[in-house]
Amino acid sequence: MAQPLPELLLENRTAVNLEISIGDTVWISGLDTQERPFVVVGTYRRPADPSTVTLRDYRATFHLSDLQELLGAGDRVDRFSVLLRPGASRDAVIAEIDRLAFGADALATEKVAAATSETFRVVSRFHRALAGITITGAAVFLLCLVVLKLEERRLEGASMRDVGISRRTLFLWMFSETLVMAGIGTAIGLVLGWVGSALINAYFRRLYDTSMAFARVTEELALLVAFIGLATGVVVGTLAGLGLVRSRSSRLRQL
Amino acid sequence: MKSVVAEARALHRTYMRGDTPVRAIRGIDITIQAADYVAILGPSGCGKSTLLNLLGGIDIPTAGSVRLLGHDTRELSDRRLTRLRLEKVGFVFQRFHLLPALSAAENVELPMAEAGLPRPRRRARAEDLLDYVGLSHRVDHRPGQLSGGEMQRVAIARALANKPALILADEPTGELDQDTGAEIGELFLRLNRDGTTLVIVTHDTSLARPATVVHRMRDGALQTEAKP
Repeated sequence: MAQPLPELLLENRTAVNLEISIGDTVWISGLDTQERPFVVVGTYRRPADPSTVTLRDYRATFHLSDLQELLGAGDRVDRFSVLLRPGASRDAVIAEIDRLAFGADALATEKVAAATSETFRVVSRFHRALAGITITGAAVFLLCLVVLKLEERRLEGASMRDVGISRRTLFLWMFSETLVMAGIGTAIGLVLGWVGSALINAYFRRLYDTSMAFARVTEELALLVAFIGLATGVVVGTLAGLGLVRSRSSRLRQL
Repeated sequence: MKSVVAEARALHRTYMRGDTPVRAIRGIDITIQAADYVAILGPSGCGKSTLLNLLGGIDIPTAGSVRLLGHDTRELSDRRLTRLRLEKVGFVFQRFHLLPALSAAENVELPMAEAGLPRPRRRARAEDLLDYVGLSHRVDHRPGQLSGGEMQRVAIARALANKPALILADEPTGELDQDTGAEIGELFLRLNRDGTTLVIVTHDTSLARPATVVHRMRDGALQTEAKP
């Protein structure tokens, strides 16, 4: 009776590009070994890992014994992952592997992630710097808009003072208008952010065939943006309101 | 005997233009009585608008005094003076100065809202006033949708909003063509006949013709006073 063929899993993109379906038999060789048949029993997506997302290589996953045979390099493994059962002590497992496998270095997932994500931390800092510059620019833009509006409103403000509208009312008028502008700007910015991140994610997920998120507007970020936008509105609105009511009405009309 | 609405005595107003003092008003005495129609005529730059601002409590004299409805304007705080203008004085400007984002009715309602009149009452009064100035069909139009004459009518309705004791108008026909100016003149005359005290600063002699008192100004001083 014939032995069943060894099984392998193909990465989805590999299967699609090579036009291989589940159940197909594929012949694979190592560098110094003969071709051997494997049956494709499934496909999988590459993990959403930013460090590998741009790689265009073909990937397959074998049983460890099949892989050793294929490569002709028995008892030689560079890396392997251990999935723990719920409740198992990770530290105890790490200690046990270190004890049993001389020369092996067992690491917790976070340590591996930290070691491989340093580049992305730097990128993240760049993003923060860019965000800071953008927010500063937006605040200056709002200030310029309000200053222009203030110039427009000086005559209106002076006339309102003449007909008996109080400084308090004028201040609230300018302040609330600025705050509304800042609020609308913030809301539009958030909507653009959400739409933009959705478009970016859709494009790059399709390009790299991954489920990874390339841009995210988190709730925390949205709240921060809303806070900064409204705080800027309050500060600029206060300055604009004070600017409008500071002078006497007849003085204002001469400006 | 008619009551005095506004009165100026030995009035002076000097501005600083850079380091140079400009004596805009030089020792004016004037009395405005209830139901007067006062016209102040004079060339540009003679101090007419400054006098109007002083009489209305918009500006404070350098020397002399203005008594507006019994109050010396120099002795009132800015807040009380603003309130006095709101409740007792109506202003009409050459360039209307309506708020472009508000409808005609809302512009008229503005001083009433500031005075604390409840919304339904101020809306009703705004509609009555717009009807009085012949704009009942333009209540919800914004200034941008109105002609110059219509905008000035809205401004007059706004000036009447809080039932003022005195209306001060600064070149109210200056931006209007002759026919429209004449219509505004008729409206002012009607206002005066209905008991409103008017002080109008103007170049337009047709506005001065129906006045009960005409003053001519030159170089910051009143030169003549006449009752036609």
